[in-house]
Order: sequence, then C-alpha cells, then structure tokens
Amino acid sequence: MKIVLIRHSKTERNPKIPILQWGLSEDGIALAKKLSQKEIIKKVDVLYSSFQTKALETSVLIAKPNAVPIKADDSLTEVTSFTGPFEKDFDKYTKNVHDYYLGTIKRISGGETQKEALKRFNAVLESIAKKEVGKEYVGIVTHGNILTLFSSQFRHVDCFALHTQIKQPDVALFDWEKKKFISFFGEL
Amino acid sequence: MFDKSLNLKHGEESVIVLVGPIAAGKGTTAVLLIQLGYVPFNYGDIICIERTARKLKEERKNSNAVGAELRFKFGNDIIAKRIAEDIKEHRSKISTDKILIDGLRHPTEVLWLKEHLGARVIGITASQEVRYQRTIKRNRVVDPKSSKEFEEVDIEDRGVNAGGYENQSDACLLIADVVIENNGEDIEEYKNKFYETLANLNA
Repeated sequence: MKIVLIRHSKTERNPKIPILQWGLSEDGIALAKKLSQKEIIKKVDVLYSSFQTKALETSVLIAKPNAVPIKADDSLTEVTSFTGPFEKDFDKYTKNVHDYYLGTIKRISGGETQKEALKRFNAVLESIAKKEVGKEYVGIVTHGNILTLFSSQFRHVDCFALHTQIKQPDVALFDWEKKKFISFFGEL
Repeated sequence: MFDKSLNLKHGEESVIVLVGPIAAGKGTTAVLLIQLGYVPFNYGDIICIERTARKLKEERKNSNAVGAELRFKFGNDIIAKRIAEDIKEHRSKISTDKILIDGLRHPTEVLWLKEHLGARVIGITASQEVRYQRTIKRNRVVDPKSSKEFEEVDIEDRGVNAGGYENQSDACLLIADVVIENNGEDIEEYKNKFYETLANLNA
C-alpha cells in the first residue's frame, strides 16, 4: 500500500475566526483544482481527510473530479499545539514553533506535545491501513506540522526548516510496508 | 460515532438540501455534513460556470443576475436540474449514498429536488444582526462591507420584493422540512443541535 500524504491547499488566514474553521483562499481553491489533475492524485483509491475546513475543502476539490470517495477522521488533524488561539505576532509565532521543535517548550496553548501528536497520527494511519487492506493508493489530507513530525521519523530532517518547506498544497508518496518515502514533499 | 447519529441503514440514500439567508451558517453546516461523508454539490458552482462564460466579475449582483437569467430562459427549476445532472454523472463513476446540495435560492429548485431526488430540506437561519456580524468577521470578497449594504443585499437575497425568477431564500425556508435557529457563537452547541436535527430528520 502506498500512502499519498497531502498537505491542504493555501489557506485564507482570518484571525477573527477559529483556526479550525479557516477555509481555502481563492488561490488555494485554484491550486487544489490544479492538484486534482496530477497523476498521483488520480491513482488514489480512497481519500481520508482531517475534519478541519481547509482539509475538507481540499479533499472535495481533489477527490470529486476523480470520483474518489472521501472519509473524514478527526485524528488526522494538525498538532493541537498549533490549532489554538491565532498568534498575530509573527515573530512570536515563529519563536514558538522554533522552540517547540527544539523541545524547549513542550506544548503551546495546552496542545499536544510532539510525542503525543505523533502517537495519535501513527495510530490513525495504522487503523486506516488496516481498514483499507487491498487498496493500492490511500490518500491522506492533513496539515503541515503533523506531516513534519511524521516525516522526521523516516528522514533526517530539520523539523523547523521542513515545516516551512512543505507547501500548501504539497504531496509525498510513502511506502507503507517498507516504511519509507518513495518521493518527498516538493518532488512530485 | 457520527454514522449512528444519522439512523441510516447501510446503502440507504440521503439527499440533504441546505437553504437559508446569507451568513446563516450553511457553510458551517456543509462542513459538518462533509465530515459525515456527504458529497457536496453547489448552486454556486453552476452559477460560477455561467458567470465565467459571460465574462462577469465575481460579484453577488452578477451571480444573482445569472441565476435569474437562467430561470427566465429555462424555467425556475433549471439549476436544480443541472445539479441533478452533475449528481447523476458523479454517481455513474462512484456509488454515492449521501448527497449534499448547498446554496439553492429559489423555492421551485428546492421543490424539484424534493420531488425528484427525495431530498430533505434543512433551513438554517439567524437574526439579521448576527448574520451581518458574521459577514464582517468572515470578510469574503463578495460580502457586503457596511450595515446598509448588508441590508440591501439581504433584502434582495431573501426575495422580499422579488419577482418570479429572482432569489427567494425566505420562501425556501418556508418549504424546509426543518429550520434550525443559529444565533449562537458556540460551534459545539450548534454541532449538537444540528446532529440532533439530522437524526430526527433521517429517523
């Protein structure tokens, strides 16, 4: 089984509404439509999405034209240390993210630690892989920080650098049985 | 967990139509339905295709005019029929039990979908002031930017002085199977209210 890991498309940031309800920007809609035409997306047998609006919108835009069924699972959400109140001060936000990946702060706004987030994400992937036995390509639409942490288990990466490098949207292909990336973010 | 709240038997079809005025919470409700596995089909997608073909800007007045023109030329149920064609095409590629149709603006469209697809109609509404505050918060390109502008757009959308081909979201609410009042700010409270409504509707 190949897992097609997808970061949601470009988001409309709106500090007045909760991050969990942020949807896609006009650009994001266009980019998701473009993504739907990629060969790797057309191969997907079933697409799982985080519950967050931006992920669901991305999922609908890439799955519907290719007649791919969508299933939503809240355990595919972002690291909850990054879904709390929006930090308007960009420098402060960047420092928080830096310190979080460095391990000097364990949680932001009472959200998950790296370990907790990874445990949750790995468990949901295990469960999806079990449910979808026999499927060749399983798509997962999720978020930048959780994808960064997941990737760090299999590649030597600088998490802080990687979290900024994974684009909105972006795709990587992961061999589930061999537990290794076939292609990484930015390569497809 | 969520499927249980629907009271749907395996393979049973469910077609839900969402209606209501601007910023009542249809988008939020659509997200909740997509989370439950509903595949969305939108009035806005049909209008967008037609508006783009006419090289018109993405403005609410243009969208309204395109909707009215289509109804005038092809009948008040035309947009519902176009959506039904899209659904049919989608279903020819993939089995789809749960369908969501969002954003309809004319009662004939809603009645057509009730009759031909067995759709159940959920109306969502909120006070004008609450809806105005929401448009300010969400700040979409097409949203009005002042209270006066909102009032004008809202009256047009609700069809307060509308003719036969124009938007009439108030009249759509009147034929809804159920109407949810969504005046609160608490999303969790709204979710619970919505799931309860949905369970009763599908029971």
